[in-house]
Amino acid sequence: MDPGSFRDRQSRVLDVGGRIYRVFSPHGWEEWKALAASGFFARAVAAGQLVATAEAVPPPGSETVLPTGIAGAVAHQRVPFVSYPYEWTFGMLREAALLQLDLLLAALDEGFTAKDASSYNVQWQGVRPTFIDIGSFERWTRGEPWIGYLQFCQLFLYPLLLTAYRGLRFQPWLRGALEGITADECRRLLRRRDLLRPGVLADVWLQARLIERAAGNGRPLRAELRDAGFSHAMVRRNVERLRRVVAGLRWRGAASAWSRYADDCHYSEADRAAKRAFVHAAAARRPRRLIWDLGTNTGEYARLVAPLADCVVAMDRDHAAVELLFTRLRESGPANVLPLVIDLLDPSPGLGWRQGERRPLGERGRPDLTLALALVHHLVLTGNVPLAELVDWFADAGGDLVVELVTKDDPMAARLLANKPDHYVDYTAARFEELLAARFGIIEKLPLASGTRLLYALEARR
Amino acid sequence: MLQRAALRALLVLGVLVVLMPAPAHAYLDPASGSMILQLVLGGAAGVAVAVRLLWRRLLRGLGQRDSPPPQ
Repeated sequence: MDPGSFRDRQSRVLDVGGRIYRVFSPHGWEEWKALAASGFFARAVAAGQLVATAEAVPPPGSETVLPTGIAGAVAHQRVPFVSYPYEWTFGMLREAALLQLDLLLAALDEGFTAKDASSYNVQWQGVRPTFIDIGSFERWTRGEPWIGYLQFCQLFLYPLLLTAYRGLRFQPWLRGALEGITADECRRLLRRRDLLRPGVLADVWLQARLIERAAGNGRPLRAELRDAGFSHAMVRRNVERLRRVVAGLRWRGAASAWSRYADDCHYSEADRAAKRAFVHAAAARRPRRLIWDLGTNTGEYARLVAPLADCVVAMDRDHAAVELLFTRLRESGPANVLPLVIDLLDPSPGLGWRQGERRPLGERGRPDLTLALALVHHLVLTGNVPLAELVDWFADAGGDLVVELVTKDDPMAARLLANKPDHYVDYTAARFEELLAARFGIIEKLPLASGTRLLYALEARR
Repeated sequence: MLQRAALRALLVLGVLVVLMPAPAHAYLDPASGSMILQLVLGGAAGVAVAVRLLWRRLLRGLGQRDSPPPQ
C-alpha cells in the first residue's frame, strides 16, 4: 500500500508486484466513471498532463483497504522516480502550480472541480510535470467554492512568493511542514512594501486575516454560500487570476547566480574531453535503468549519460545550479533527466504520518549506476564525512560507481582547506583506492593530465 | 477601473466588518476564511453573492431577536 495516499477516503493507491493500482470506494468509483467519460480526462491524458490510467482488475487482497469496501480499480503508469516539492526548484514548483491550475480550469469547463490542490499530486517525467491523483477530480456541486484554494496557497503560491519576492529558499519550509506555509507565516515573512505586489494583498494578507477571524465560529458557511448563489463562474475567475499571478512570478536571484557557472571551469580542454569519454564508456558498459548523478551542478554529465539510461536523477544542493539545469532541459532535453535539489549531507528523510507518507531518498529507487564527479572533496573536506563511510555509502547504494577524486594539491581542494586546519590524513589517493577495492571491483583508473584529479570506474560486487 | 477597485475595497471592508466573533483556537477551521475570500475574488458576481449572504444573516439575526431563545 502506498503510505502517502491514506488521506483520501474515496480511493487508495497500492503498489502490487511493481504495478501501481488505485482502488475506489463505491462513491469514488462513481466519480471515476464520470471523469473517465469526460472529454477533459481524455484530452489531459493524451497531453501527458494526467497520468496514463486504465481500468484494471482489483489486485488480490485489496478488498479491505477501504472501510467502505471497494467498487473497482484502475492501473496507473509508473512514475520513473518519485520526488517531492521540497526537492524541486522554483521553476519546477511554478510549472507544477500552472499544471494544477490549467487542469482545474479545463475540469471546471466540463462540470468538474478539484477537491484539493496539493503539490504532492504532481510528479515528473523528466522535466514534464504529470498530475497523478485522478481521485482529486469530482463533479462540481452547485454553490461549492474551490475547497483546495487554501491548500494551493500553502503548498504552491506562498513558497513561490517567498522565493520570488524575498529570495528565500522555499525547500526547507516545505520539508519542515507537509501542510506547507500558512497564510499567517507568509504574511509575517513578507514586508509591508510587498503588499503592492501581485498575490500579496488578497491571497496572503487578507486571507490570513479572514482565517484568523473566521476560525472556529462554527457557521455552516458552505450551505450559506450555496443558498446565496455562489457560482461556477466565481471559482473560474479566481483560478484565472491565480494563474496570472503564478505565471508572472520570477526568481531573479537565479539568473544572477548563473553567470558564475559559465566562467567557473576548472578543466583544460583536453582533461574535459578525457573525462567525458571516460564517463561515457563506463556508463555504456551495460544498459542502465536508473542513474544517479550526485553533485550534478549544471548537469553536464547527467546529460552525457542520459541516452544510456531509462532515467537519470541529477541532484545538487545548489538551487540556482539545478534551476539552470531545469531551464536547459526544458529548452533542449534530454527528456529523461530529473533535476532535484538535494543536499547529500542532509538528504530528504521519511516524513508525515508514521514517517512513511513521504519516503526517504534512498527508498524511492536504487541506482544501478552512481556518478560522483568532483564531489568527494566537498563531502570529505567540507562536510567532514570520513572517507571510509563515504565509500561504504556509495557501495550500499547498490550499483556501479564512477567517482572522481580531487587531491589536496588541486587548487579547488586547496581552496576548501584555505581557512581550516588539515585534519584529513586519510584523504589520499592510496587510501581511497584501498577502500574502493574492498567494496567494488576496479575496472579502470584514469589520472587526468592536470595531475590532481583521478577518475575511477567501479563495478558493484553482485 | 478605479470604480471597480473602490467597489472591491468596500466589499472587503464589509466582509471584514461582518466577520464578528473573536478567534476560538480549539477547533480551527481555516477553510471558512478562504471561502469568504473567494467571494471577494469572484468579481462582480461575488459582490452580489456577498451582499445576499450578508442580507440573509442580517434578516436571520433580526428574526432571532424576536423569537424565543431555542431550548
